[in-house]
Amino acid sequence: MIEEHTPKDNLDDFIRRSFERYEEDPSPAFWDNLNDKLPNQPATGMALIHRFGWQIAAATVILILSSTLIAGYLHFTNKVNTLIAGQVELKEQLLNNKPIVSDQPSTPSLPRSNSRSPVQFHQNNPSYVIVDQREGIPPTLLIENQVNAISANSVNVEVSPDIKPQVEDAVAPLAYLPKWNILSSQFQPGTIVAKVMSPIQPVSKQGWYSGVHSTVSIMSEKLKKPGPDDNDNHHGPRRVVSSQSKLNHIVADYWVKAGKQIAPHLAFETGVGYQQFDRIAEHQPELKIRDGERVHGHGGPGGPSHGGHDEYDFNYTLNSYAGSMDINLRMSQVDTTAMYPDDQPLDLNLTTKEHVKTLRIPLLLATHTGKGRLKFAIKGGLIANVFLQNELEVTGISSGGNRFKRSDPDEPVAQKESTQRYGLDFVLAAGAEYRLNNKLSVLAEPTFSASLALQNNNLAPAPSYQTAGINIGLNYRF
Amino acid sequence: MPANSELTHMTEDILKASIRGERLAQKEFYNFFKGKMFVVCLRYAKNREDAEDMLQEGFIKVFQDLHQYAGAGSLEGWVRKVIVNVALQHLKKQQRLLPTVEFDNLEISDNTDQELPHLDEPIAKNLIHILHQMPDGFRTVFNLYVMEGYTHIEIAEILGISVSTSKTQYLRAKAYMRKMLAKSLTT
Repeated sequence: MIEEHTPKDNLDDFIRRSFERYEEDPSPAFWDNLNDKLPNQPATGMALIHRFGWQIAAATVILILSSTLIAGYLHFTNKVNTLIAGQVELKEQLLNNKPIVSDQPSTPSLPRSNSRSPVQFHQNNPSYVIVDQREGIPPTLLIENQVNAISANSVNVEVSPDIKPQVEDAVAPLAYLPKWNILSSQFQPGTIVAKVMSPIQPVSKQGWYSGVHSTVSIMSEKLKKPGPDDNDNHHGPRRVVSSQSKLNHIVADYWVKAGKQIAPHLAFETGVGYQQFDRIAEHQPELKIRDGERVHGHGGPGGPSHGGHDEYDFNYTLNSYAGSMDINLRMSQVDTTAMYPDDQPLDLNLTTKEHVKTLRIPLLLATHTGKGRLKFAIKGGLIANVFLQNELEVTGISSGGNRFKRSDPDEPVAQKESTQRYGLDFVLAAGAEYRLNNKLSVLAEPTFSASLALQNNNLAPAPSYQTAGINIGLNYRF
Repeated sequence: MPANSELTHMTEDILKASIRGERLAQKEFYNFFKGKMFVVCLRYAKNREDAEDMLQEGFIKVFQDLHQYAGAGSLEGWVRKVIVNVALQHLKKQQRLLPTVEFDNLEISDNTDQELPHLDEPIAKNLIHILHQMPDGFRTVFNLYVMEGYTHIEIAEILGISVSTSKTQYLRAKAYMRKMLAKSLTT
C-alpha cells in the first residue's frame, strides 16, 4: 500500500498528501476535561471591542448623534409650543390695551444670557419688542412688527432665551443678538417698545446651503497577507494573492455639496465628489516552485527544479485597491545548473501602478452646536463610490536572489480580470464652521473614513482601507 | 461532509457565539476542528497522551484569543497556527527541542524494538507512528518544513537554532522516514 503511493523522488509531497484528508479524534472524554479547564466567564468587553472594533465605534457615534438630536428636538419643540401660547395671549392683550394679568401662566421670563434660542430677526424690517416691566409679573418681551419705533433714547437689555420667533423670515440665531436697544416708550404705562438690532442679514427660511469642499487625506491600506499554505486563498483554479505591504498615500477629493436644515440642530447633506490618484504599490506573492507549471525542462509539472533551462508558468490573481487582475508570468532559472526543491520560494516582487478615478456620492447627517459666528458640527454617514476608471499595470518584476527571471521581459503579464465598479465607505467628521457674513461661511473638518467592502469581485477578502484627513470648504446660504 | 458553503456559514455563527464565550458553541467549534487539530498535535507529540495535552492547551488558547481572529483569512489556518505554536511551546517547556541525538544512533537494526508501520492501516497513521519514534528536534523541524511550509530561515528563528542545524535535522529526519518506510516493506 505504501509503495504504491510513495513517489521515489518526492517524499515530502507524499507525506503532505497523506495527511491532507486524514483526521483522528482524541479520546471521548477529552471534551469533558477541556470543558473543566475553560474559563466560565464569557468573552470580555475588550475582546468584543477587538473583534467588532469599528462597528462598535460607528454604532456608538450614530447612537450618540441620534439621541442628542432627538432629545434636542423634543426639548425645543416643547419649549416653543409653550412660548407660542404665552406670547400670542400677551400680544393680544397689549395691542388691545387690555391690562395684563399679573399671574400670566405662560409668560416667558427675561432675561438670560448665553441664549441659544432660535429667535431670529430681519434687519431690514426691524422687529420691535414690548417689554412689560410692571410689578407683579416677570419682565416680559413681546415681539411685534406692527409697532413703530418712537425715540432714540435707548437702553441695553439682554434677550430672553425663551422668546418665540414672530418674524418668520429671519434665521439669525439668538446668540447673534446679545444686546437689544430699548427705545423709550409712548405705550401704556408699564410697557417699553424696543427695536431689534440684528447684526445678521436674514437667511433663507428654507435653510438651504451649498458649498465647494476639498478633502486631503492619507489613505492607508491594510492588505491580507497569505500564509505559506493558506489554501483558503484558492478560489477556483487560480491562486489569489493580495499585497503584503501596508501602504500610505495621499488622496484628494473635490466636492460640490448641498445641504438643508431639517431641524434646529440637524442638517442633511449630500452632493457629488471626485477623487483621482495614482497609486504605486509593491506586491510580494508568496509563490513557490510547486505553484508553477513547468513548461520546459526536466520532470513533471510542479516538481522540483532539476537544473537546465527550466521554465515555469505562474498564474495567479492579484487583489488590489479597486479590483483584481490576472497575472501570468513565465519565469526561467537564471542559474541553469542550480537545483531547487519544489518548495523553493520565488521571492517575487511586483510593482504595480494604479490610476483610479472615482465618483463619490455622500449621504450625511450633521448636527450643529455653538453660538455667534462660530459653530461646531459633527457629521456622519455613507459615501457611495462609483469607480469611473481603474487602470492597473505591472511596471516591474524582480526575483529575490536572482534565481529566476522573466523568460520574455516584453511579454504582457497583466490582464484586467474584474474591476470593482462600486464601493461603500462610512465617514465621520467633526469640525467648525465660521460665518464670514450672512451668506458665506468657511469650514474645516477633520474626517475619518473606512471601506465597508468585505469581498471583492472574486469573493476574496477585499483589501480594506482607511483615510484620515481634513475637509475644508466654503458654504453659501441661500 | 456538508458543502463548503454550509461549513463556512456554520463556522461564522459558531465563531461569533464562541467569542462570546457560549459553551455550546465552543463545543461545536471544538467538534468542527478536533479531528484535524488532533492530527497536528499527533505529528508534533511523542505519543498520544502528549498530543492530548497539546490539544487541550491549544483549544484553551484558541478560545482565549479567538477575538483576535481578523475574519479575513482562513479560520482553520488561524486555529492550526495557534495549535502549532502551543505545541512548540509545549516542547520547549519540556526542553525537548534542545538536544538532538546523532543520526547514527537512529540506525535501524533488526534487533530494535522500534515499532514498524502496519500496512493495513491508513498511511497517515503509519507516518505518525514513524514520527513518534523520531527525536523531538527531527520531528519538529520535519513538521515545520514539510507540513507547515516554513523555510529553514524561518524555522531557525522559531526554534532558536541555526539554519544549518535546521537543514541537517530535516535531511536526517527525511532519511530516517525513508528508511523506516523501506524497512516496513521488507519486514
